[in-house]
Amino acid sequence: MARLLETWISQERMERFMYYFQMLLNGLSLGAIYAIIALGFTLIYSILKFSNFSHGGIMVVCAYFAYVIQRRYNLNFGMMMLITAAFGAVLACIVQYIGFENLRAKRSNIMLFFVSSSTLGILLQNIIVITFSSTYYAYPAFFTPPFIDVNGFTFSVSDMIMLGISAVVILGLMFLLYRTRLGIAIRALSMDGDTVKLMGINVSVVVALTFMVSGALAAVAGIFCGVNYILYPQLNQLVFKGMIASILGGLGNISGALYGGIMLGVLEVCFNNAFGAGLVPVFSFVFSMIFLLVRPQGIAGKYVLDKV
Amino acid sequence: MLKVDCVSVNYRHVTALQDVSIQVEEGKIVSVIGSNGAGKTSLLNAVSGAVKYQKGQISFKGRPLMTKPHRIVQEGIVQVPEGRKIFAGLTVEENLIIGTINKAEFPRRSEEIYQLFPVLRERKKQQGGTLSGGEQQMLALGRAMMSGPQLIMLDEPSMGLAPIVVKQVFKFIKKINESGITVLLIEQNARQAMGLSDYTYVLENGRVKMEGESQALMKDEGVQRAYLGVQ
Ligand SMILES: Nc1ncnc2c1ncn2[C@@H]1O[C@H](COP(=O)(O)OP(=O)(O)OP(=O)(O)O)[C@@H](O)[C@H]1O
Ligand SMILES: [Mg+2]
Repeated sequence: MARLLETWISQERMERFMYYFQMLLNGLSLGAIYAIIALGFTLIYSILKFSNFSHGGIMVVCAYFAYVIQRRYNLNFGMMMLITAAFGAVLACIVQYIGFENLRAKRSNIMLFFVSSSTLGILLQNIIVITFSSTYYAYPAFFTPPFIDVNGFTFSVSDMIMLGISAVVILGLMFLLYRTRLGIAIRALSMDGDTVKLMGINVSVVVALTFMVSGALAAVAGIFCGVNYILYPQLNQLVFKGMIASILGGLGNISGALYGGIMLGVLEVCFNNAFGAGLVPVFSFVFSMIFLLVRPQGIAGKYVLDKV
Repeated sequence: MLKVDCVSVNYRHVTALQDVSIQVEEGKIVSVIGSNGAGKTSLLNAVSGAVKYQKGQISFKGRPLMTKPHRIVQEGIVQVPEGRKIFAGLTVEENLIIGTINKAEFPRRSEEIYQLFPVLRERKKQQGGTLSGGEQQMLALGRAMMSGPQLIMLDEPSMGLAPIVVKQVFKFIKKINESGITVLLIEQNARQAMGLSDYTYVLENGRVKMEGESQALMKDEGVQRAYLGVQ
């Protein structure tokens, strides 16, 4: 028996296992970032029914904000995240007020929301370009050692910490949405805004708070992107990953955004290992197209997609 | 208690209400009857603040009514919308939570609702969308009651329900009224509505065509022919 086990867990099998395990971990940690982008994006889509591209702008501003306050006050990673999340919440609230409050009051066409959000997204990105020029910045190395070694396989410490934080953030969001009055109001708003009003709920307040939650998520995602890649003004384009993830999950569906993000991250890492980094966007795109042909309502969606 | 004074509502090119005046006395059940498109829902939505009125005044307990829907609910006026409008993806309990404006009152009020509608207690964790039409109407009533209203406005509560269930719903409306809540009842089901209410307004093409004590109005020949199906 013992000998059987020993041959089964041969060195080769062990290596194979570690290889896939490492790939899965990388995929999950990338997927968790995509999921957090997708969740922030979807939260707004679900209540106001438009694709909020200012989300990317908030992400990039937050990523740079974190860099600045970290340098200035020499903060640790956790402190930096907390303060930036608060900043992201306030920023999103301001963006909501400038960009959408009036449109909501006038019950404007969805197209105008879309235009307004894209404009604000570009504006925020350009503020970063003007302030920091297009040079690259990087966060200091927060985690030492940056890698740990298990049997010749290296695991990135930052990946694992980000994965852990993501899990906490996602669980926190689910708690908020499913266990608190605010969360129930947000979900009700996503189902039927007119009736929510008639039930005595101040919709403007719920919308503002939803934007704050979404902004805090954008901040977390922005920092993670900065840690994962590097700080550059076009970081906002990662919002498209969130969008793809949320479409894969079923647009406007909260749990769908989570699954879609994780699926996209894991797939990208797999494609990367199989075909090389250059081809990842191509394969992701082709995969998404095929997936949506087979299942147009997304992973968790119940309804056929309407216009993006 | 509620006074709607010469109110007009226009949607772009459509005039839905024209100089409509109604009055609801405290503790009473007042019904508004009228056929499709008469402007009944527009009237309720004007009171609820869900649509703007171009002309006229609405006052509640002698004071001009607020304009924001959530403030109006806080003032003590709540509506059970046409078609019930249950949040299909929320559980029965969550639907009741949405109806609550004062968090601290939730345990007491939900207990009251569950006593009034025991079926809702059994379905507490079930999604609102999976309830039957009758159960949804009870949930809609319960959800509105959670705000602790002084005036409850019901928009066609009998819509799409079997006659026996309609009877039940009307019995609940009577019970609610007996507990001291004033009722403004909108119905196409004129016979039932007039049978239950103290006073009735007849709405036609956005105007009040007739009004009077329900019992008296039921004997009116014109009303009998147009709304009660008497030849
Ligand atoms: N949002 C809207 N936009 C444009 N016109 C509307 C709107 N809502 C109602 N109307 C119009 O106003 C008129 C009155 O409608 P309302 O819904 O108040 O009637 P109702 O008496 O409630 O009818 P029903 O018994 O069918 O519910 C109708 O001619 C309707 O077409
Ligand atoms: Mg109506």
